Amino acid sequence: MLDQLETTEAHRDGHLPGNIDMWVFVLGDLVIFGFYVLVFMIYRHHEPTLFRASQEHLNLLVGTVNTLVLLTSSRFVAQAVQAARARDNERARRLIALAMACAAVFTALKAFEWTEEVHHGFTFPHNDFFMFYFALTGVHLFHVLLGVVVLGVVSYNLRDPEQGSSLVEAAATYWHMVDVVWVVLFATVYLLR
Amino acid sequence: MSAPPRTQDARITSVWVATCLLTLVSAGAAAGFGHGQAARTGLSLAVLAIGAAKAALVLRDFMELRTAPRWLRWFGAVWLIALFATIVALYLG
Repeated sequence: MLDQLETTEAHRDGHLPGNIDMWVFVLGDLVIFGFYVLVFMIYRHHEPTLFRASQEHLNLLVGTVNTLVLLTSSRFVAQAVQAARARDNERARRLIALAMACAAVFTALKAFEWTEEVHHGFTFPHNDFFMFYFALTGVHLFHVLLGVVVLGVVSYNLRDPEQGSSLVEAAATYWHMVDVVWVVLFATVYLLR
Repeated sequence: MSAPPRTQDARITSVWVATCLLTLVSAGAAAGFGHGQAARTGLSLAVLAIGAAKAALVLRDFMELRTAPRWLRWFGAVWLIALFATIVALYLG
């Protein structure tokens, strides 16, 4: 009876994907990234002409393609969670491999983009906009690379058919956080005029 | 507690298509920015609204806040609204 009541209560209060430790980390990261973006906006507020002129030198096509690539990786990871819940670990591993391939494309395009900016003289100390551009996208790229390691560890563990879905859910929570942060960066750093 | 896998996959695909289309719309809007202040402000606000909508979709359907405990749904909503409201205020200020 008590078990039944607890189950009903848990159902009503929703399901926490993964584990609470990952959520504490992810929510903390979202708050910190939010503050970074707000500091960027405060600087932009003080130098709107400089920021607008500098933004026009960014490669909008590469930024857009990278956004699509990251959204696609999130789709694969979300589907991997469904596959793991259905106990189809092999499908989950294939989907995680596709997400990791997307991360490789994202990293390569980011390297190309940075190289192009530096080649045109837009380096980290060039002005306040490029300082934020390299810092924000750099910290984000670090999170992408960390996410690749996390996905790799999860994929390795999924070789065990008895491995449950909780590990995939925790990795997915992290990976989607990286996606959310990029969506905010794309809107504010690349598109805002 | 959760929908059948096929329904979930369809939802995930729909959200992916929607966020990709919104990305193309906002990039298209940014590429077409003119020099008029009013048009630029209008398009920038549209770009921010699209960004907020995309972030909300990823939080709700990919991160599964839609079916998460109430405190987590509130946290996500408050974070997103506070962040974009402050961004808009700083942009317009």
